[in-house]
Amino acid sequence: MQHIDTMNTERRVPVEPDFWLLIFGDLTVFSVMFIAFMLRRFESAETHAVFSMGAESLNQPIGLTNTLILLTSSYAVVLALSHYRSGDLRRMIRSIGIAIVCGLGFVCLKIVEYTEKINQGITVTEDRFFELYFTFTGIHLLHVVIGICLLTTVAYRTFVKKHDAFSTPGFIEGVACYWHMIDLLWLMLFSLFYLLG
Amino acid sequence: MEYVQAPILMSQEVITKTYRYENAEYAIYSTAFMVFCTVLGLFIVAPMFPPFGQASASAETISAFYQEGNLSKKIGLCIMMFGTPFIIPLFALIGEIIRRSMNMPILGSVQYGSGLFGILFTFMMTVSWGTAAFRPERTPDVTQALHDMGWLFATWVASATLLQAVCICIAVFKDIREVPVFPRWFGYYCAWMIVLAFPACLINIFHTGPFAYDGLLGFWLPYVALFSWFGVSMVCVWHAVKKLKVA
Repeated sequence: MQHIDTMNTERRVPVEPDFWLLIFGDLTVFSVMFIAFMLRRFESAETHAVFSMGAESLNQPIGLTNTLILLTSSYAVVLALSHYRSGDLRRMIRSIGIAIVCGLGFVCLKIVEYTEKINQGITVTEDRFFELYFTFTGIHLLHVVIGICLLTTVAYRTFVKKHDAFSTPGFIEGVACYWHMIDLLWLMLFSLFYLLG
Repeated sequence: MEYVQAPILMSQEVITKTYRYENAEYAIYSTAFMVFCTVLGLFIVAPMFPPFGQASASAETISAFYQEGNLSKKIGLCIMMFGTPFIIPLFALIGEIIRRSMNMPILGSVQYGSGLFGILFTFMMTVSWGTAAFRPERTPDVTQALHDMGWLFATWVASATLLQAVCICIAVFKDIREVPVFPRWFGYYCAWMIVLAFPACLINIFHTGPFAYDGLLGFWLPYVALFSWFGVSMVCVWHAVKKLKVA
């Protein structure tokens, strides 16, 4: 049987090896942030109490919904990539559309959560827990917004069939990897802020 | 070699390859001089860097910081002030490479413009600290305000650097010819620099913790990223110029 590598099953580095420098860099920043979080949390019994109280006052159902939403969108991106590799561009655009809608849903829920906290009079300078909560989730939210823009770019370029550096298989794979990284980071943030009570 | 305006029909490529990058190495030497002045001025003579615990320190502590070794602070800031503009040749050279050799005129201009904008921030940083060191015996509150303002200028240079790095990043990724001018990892490196420098924009909210201007994400990561970016871009531009000269 003739071997055709349409599914890209050969062992290789996704996108290109250089791309992982960026992912590595972003993960470095977040690792430093997570280490800073843990150091501050276990500084003394008092900070431990502040962090526990803060974690309990967060809206857990919204946090869990957001986790599920991001996992769904990651799955949609996986589907989109496999449709792209099999050449089914219409389905690929549809899957990316689902991922974008999920991403927008995440942003909306996050805004609801922030507004809820701000209406309770809790802002970024409230205490040590909320200082880190707002900055870390804010930086993550920025990543999500950038990710949505990139997904929209990919969907649009595929839709109008424009061929340039931003519609190559490498770029599309890169955007998918970036989106999975956002998902991974949210899983870490969710467990650090919401679950570590 | 006399500089001849290219006739319209003459291939732009020929001009680019033969005359345009004559003596371009001096831009790299000039950048090395800038880095030398920064390290000598800010790190050694006037130890303004790194700012241990200054974001949460009292006005009296900051005032005492300027009173001890006042003359060396003035001299160090003077060296820094003199060295700052010497990075302009590097930005001009990168701009010219992007504009002519990679054929993306607007990205090249925006890169150059935002580079100049960033130098203004760095210069204002030196001016703020220089003013703080000028009359160290004044009310501590004023000295503290000037010191904080200097740090905001120093770190909010990220706004200009971000745009500049995005331009270089896009230019590198759009260059999909057989032999690209810049290696692709340089584009990813610029993107990484943006990621590392971005959290530093929050320094005006915090007095303590990792996001304060003496913290891990407010000082250490962005400055390590920035200074390593100078080195990396010098090497990449050096190789690009060599490639463009022989091509």
